[in-house]
Amino acid sequence: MNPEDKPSTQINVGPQHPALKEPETFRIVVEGEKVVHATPILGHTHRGIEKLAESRDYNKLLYLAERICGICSFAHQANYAKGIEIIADLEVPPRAQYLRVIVAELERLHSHLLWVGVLAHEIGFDTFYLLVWKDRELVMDLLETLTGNRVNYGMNRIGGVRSDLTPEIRQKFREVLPELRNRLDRIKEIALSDPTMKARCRGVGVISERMARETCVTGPTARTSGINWDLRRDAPYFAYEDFSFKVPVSDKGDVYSKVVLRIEELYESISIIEQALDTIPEGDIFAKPPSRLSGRAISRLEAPRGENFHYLDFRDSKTPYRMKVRAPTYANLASSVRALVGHHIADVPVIVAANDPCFSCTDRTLVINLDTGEQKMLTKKELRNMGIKIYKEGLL
Amino acid sequence: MSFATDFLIFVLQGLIFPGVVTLVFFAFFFEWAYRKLLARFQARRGPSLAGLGGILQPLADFIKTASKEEIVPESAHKTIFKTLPLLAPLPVLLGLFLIPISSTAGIINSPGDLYLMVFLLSLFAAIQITLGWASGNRFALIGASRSGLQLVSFGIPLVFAAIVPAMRAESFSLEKIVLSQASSTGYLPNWNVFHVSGIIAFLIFLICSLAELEKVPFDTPEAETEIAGGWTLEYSGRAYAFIILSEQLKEVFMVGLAVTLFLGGPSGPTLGLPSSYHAILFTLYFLAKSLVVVFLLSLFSAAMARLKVSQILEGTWSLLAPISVLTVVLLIIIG
Repeated sequence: MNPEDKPSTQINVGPQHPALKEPETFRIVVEGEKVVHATPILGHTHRGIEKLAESRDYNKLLYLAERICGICSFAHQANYAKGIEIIADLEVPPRAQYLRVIVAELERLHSHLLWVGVLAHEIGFDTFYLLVWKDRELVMDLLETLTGNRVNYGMNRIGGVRSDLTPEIRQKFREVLPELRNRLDRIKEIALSDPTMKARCRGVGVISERMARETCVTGPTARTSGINWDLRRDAPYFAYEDFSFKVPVSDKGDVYSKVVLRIEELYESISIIEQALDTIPEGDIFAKPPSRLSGRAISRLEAPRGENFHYLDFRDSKTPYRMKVRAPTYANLASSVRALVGHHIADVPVIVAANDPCFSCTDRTLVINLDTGEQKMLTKKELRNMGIKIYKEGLL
Repeated sequence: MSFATDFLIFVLQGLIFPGVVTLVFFAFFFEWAYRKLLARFQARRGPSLAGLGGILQPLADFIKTASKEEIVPESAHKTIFKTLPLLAPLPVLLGLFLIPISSTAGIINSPGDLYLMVFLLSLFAAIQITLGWASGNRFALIGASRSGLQLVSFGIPLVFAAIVPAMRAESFSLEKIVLSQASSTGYLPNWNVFHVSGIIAFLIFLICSLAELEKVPFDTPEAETEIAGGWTLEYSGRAYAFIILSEQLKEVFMVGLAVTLFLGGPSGPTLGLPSSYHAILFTLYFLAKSLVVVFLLSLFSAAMARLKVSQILEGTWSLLAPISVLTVVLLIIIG
């Protein structure tokens, strides 16, 4: 639309904005309170992780992969380790696979609980936000007990995991998980019954199935738009084929159904962890990897936010020739920008937060010409030529 | 000679007790109580470092904010931006002089106190809109327009709620309203809140107070996660400290009005004490009743999410305003 047509105001939500915990810009055009146009501007936190990966030993890369995302750190690390294991054709012991499932589901628990809290904060419901985060501490404690860390667990190693499930830790899991289920019941009750929560979330930011398919969304965002797709069930990895669990799906597509769906997923996560505790096989927790690697692999994994994609290319070396990461937020961003149009300014943070965005994981390259203020994304070819130029002229 | 003494007493009352100094102390105390209660509802500890139980935190915040650098944006209207925040507490203080705190009458009182109150509430709204407009920021402008919409639409139920005690006292003077509630019938004191239409009016008044004070669920004009602080966004340093102070004083004003109109004001049993102690005793009664109102306000705030402007407007015009009119009709019918 042409901004000249009607009296409209352009406002920048971000890069610094209290609703966005990471720097990202949404340039929105509003008429009164109504959003008529929205554009995302990416690239404020590009960290050059993929380039950095090309100069690191593949064992050290585990810890770089973990730092792609602060919330789903395990998903990235495990996905990377899975890719290396595919290249090395390494048989990971079943006990390690089970432990990976346990940590992955704990991470889903803490990530979704965090998200429910953040959403409550976005709609100004700070009481709910703080109560949810208090309950999330139970999960954080479990993670700390099992892995030794609350955030970046460092749980994976190539070919297995680092720390084992002792009987004492298993006992603690047995005590905490039922309590967690009780707390979830309470969270679900508040989310389902609170009138102001309904008023702010129901019918807001609807992503129809068609729009979802057009914008290639993934994860809970796709499942609330009626796309029945979950890698844990449809392309099983680790030990997921050993467990029975439901994949909740909804076709409403609004923010409220995302809240309900994520809470439903958490019940399944608890059930998976309980099954894993019951049936975990004895044995080693890791297998020794080879020293040099050769080959290419695509590794996919269902992170809390959606499908996590790693591409690895090794050419008989310890360091990768190329590593490419696609975090789920990148896939979901286009849909939330389209969902913004037609809603009020008050809905902007809610709709943006609804996809559980993690912008720092997503950011790639943006060049800003300081003289003209012009911004553009570089193509691969331009980047390559720029790199060659820099090396030739010895600018580094 | 006696005129000079009276004038001196009046000035001392206005400046110290129950005037400016006491009122600012009340403002900080209510703010602390509100924050502490809200924190407890949210399973937090709240302010706890400055003073006993963090009671000095609002004062510390004021001093810290006031001593920070003041930044004036390029696009701001410089004169208004610099001076209006410093003047903003003055009309609130004027309003507070009307509220009976240490005796059954305020420092200044007239037969038309309630008229003046309505006028002052519109003045607060006008100041907020001007402050937002003068800062020349788009978020602030959106906040100012929301503020205007909100305060205008809550004005009507607020006034109707305040008319109920005035009709029962057959006067618009706050002193008369307090005196009309002083007697007691049976076990309960004769407060307006214990009357059928009085309790409805009290609840409407509390909801409108939340809107006037821009607290959740009606904090849309400041909505941190939507418009980053709204009309207060560009203010910093001393100007911001004074805006915060005027907001806190406004809290005392709204709470004080609720106490005066519905909870019998500062009056209570005199316990046989000589009349020279009454001022202190009444102030304590006022504080105790105020804390009840602050408790209710923080409870409402803690239990809800922020509403959208459209939802607020719909709720006030289609629900709150008709109910407030019906409350007055109810009072006329049952007396």
